[in-house]
Amino acid sequence: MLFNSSTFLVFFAVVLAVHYSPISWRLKKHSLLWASYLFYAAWNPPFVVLLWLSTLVDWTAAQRIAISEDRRRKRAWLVLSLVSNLGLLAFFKYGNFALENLQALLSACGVVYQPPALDILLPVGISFYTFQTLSYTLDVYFGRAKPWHSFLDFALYVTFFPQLVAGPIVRATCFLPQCVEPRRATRDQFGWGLMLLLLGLFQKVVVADALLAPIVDQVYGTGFGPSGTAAWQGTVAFAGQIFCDFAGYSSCAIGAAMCLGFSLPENFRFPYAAIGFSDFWRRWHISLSTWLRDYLYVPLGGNRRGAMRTHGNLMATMLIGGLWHGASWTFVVWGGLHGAFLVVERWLRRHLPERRFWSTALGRLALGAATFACVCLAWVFFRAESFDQAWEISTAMLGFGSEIGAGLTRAQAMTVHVVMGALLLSHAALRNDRLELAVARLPHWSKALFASCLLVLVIHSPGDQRAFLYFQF
Amino acid sequence: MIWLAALGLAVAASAGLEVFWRSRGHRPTTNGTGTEVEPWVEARARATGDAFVLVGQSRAQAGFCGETFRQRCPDQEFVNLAVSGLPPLATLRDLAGDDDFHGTILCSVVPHVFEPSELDAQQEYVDAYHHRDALAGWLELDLAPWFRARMASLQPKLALPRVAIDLALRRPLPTPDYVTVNGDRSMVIDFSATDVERLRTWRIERTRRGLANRTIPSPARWAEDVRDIVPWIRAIEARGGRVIFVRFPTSGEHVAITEHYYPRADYWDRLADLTGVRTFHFADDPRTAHFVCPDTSHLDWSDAPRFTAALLDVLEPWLAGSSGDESAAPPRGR
Repeated sequence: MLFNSSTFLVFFAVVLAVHYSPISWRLKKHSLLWASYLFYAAWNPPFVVLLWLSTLVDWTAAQRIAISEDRRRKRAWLVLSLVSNLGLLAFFKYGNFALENLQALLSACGVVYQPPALDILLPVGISFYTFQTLSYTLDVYFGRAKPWHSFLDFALYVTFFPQLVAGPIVRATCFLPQCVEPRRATRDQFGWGLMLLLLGLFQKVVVADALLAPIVDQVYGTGFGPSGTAAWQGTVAFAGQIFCDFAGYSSCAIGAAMCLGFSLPENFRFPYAAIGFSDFWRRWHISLSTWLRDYLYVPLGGNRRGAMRTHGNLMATMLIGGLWHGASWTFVVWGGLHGAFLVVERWLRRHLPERRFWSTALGRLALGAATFACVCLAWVFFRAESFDQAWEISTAMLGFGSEIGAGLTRAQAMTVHVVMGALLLSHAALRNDRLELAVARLPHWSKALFASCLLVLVIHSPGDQRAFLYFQF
Repeated sequence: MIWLAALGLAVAASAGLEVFWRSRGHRPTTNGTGTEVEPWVEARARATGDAFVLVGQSRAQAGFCGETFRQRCPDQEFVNLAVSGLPPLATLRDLAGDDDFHGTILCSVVPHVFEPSELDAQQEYVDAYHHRDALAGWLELDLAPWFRARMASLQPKLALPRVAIDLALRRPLPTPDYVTVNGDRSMVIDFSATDVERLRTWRIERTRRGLANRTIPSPARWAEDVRDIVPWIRAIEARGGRVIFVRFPTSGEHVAITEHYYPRADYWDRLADLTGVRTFHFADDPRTAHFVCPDTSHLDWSDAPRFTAALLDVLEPWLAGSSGDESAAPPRGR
């Protein structure tokens, strides 16, 4: 079920009606849980079994880890959780990829191997809920959290429909305590939740799908062969599309949860106003980057074991982060590029002498522009269908392509410039602010006008109903 | 209060847009939404029992008026499964394999649709129907098509971002389409809203080029192809259903060109004997022969109800009898 479908509108209205009806908190949690299963089943009912499996395994593993005195038994239960969760992820997400690479490797060694056609369907959201349940078991194992007392609460934590299929990746320590007392949004919270839902739909339906997606699809379509200018325009449009698509989903998720009285963590904080790559990753997909930091980078040693090891840990974390996004080497290269950017940034910070210029508005603008340009170059590998296409577009962007390549129409070019100009300006203006506070400062009449404009634009931007891009991850 | 005001403003703005676009001649349509498959899937789900099912392409979609049928047969479920631009036999095959269906299929065909290369043209739609999950299908009560079928301002070409770009570039506002598709999937073609002469020239050229590029099967080869689909018809008849092949109207040069490549005596006139079912050619009855297609290939919306009524008059004796009733007039194959 998509947030941008009328089905969700009906579904959410029913969920809200039940949630605010005079029934017990336990019954309300049951209704949220079963509504969440229904939400997931709307896509493919049999895969609900995977959710149950993940819930049962991590619930049991965490309980056993907590009561075991023996360190080896604790570790065994953790390994069981890791193997079952990552095993499912590996099978469903990376099964075909592994077989294809094995075939290529054997072929390079002169061995002819024809792998079986697995035809595996990727369960939507598996990367998100796998990381979410794993974080609970890991937190219990490392003593950062105690096993939760209520299986119902835990099942709801794994399945809670607003963030189930595309995040934010919520930590158990953030969600489970909210299940103790009945949740009820205040009038202000409910209003802000609705506003976030509407804002998310606007980002997704109007900006990502109606305005930018057709341009990106054209530039990254087969046989377009873009000129340098068109390659930049198409890639910058993709930067806007993926932000509005993913941040739009996160806004809808946080807004829907808030209407139900639950608080989910922020997932995006105006990332295209980032100055430097460490700043970018503090603003982009925050719930994933903090997950990778806490459960991968830090356990690998983080920055505590010398410069070389730190650089290695950064690269390993970003490469795995890239692979998390999809079973393709282009995603690994995307992660590798970001790893390299982080390593270079770290090196420059240590070795270049400090100059006042970089603290001035102009210096910060230059650094922000350079960060955005590098992020866009990396996006090429994220969006491209193949290395050949990524090479074609990135060489065109770097000036090694041909200016006689295909260009965008005047309307398309204007769309990219206006939309992305507005997006970048809004990020720069709100860089050190919070959206909630910025909207709260508006007078009431302008809030009503703002909401009605968003509503009219969402309703009157019909077209292809596209799934959220991050569903495939 | 803020939300009530926002909702009120949004409703007022939407109503204003609707009035504005309608005043410029735009009508509601589900065409061009990129979601044509979903309404078909929804319609296919209703093609059960003794439903009356229209199968074909745009000629049937535009020429057969569902409203007229419903007035004539108010107790009969009417389902429009015609798909513009795609030969229909994959749908016929699907209905043949559906044990829940024992109704009547009015199948609009021309000789070339029986060729093997055309058999799977509508398979994408059929697959979408069969791959829909029962629970997911029940949950996906998509309200969008319902609104699109009733609001002119919800057409993709009138999307506000698109119109805003046009206005910024000082381009004229979008003009109404001469083709719209209703919520029941019937097509409305208003030739008064387009340059008919240009359209006719384009259509004739397209038909001429399309047929010239085809490898026309010999009558014997074509007969073999037709025989391949006979088991589907028998399967439908075995359950008490029936199939009627109909040639919808074409006019002028279109008739001459198709006659050149597929002479009627060698192809169409043999269809009834080859399949053992009723066939009806629009030119064979004065009640349907006089209709003129402005673009040579499709009826105007104003003619569709009258043509449908005339066609139902012709078919009435057949529809009144059971599938195996040979006594009903008119004679088979004419």
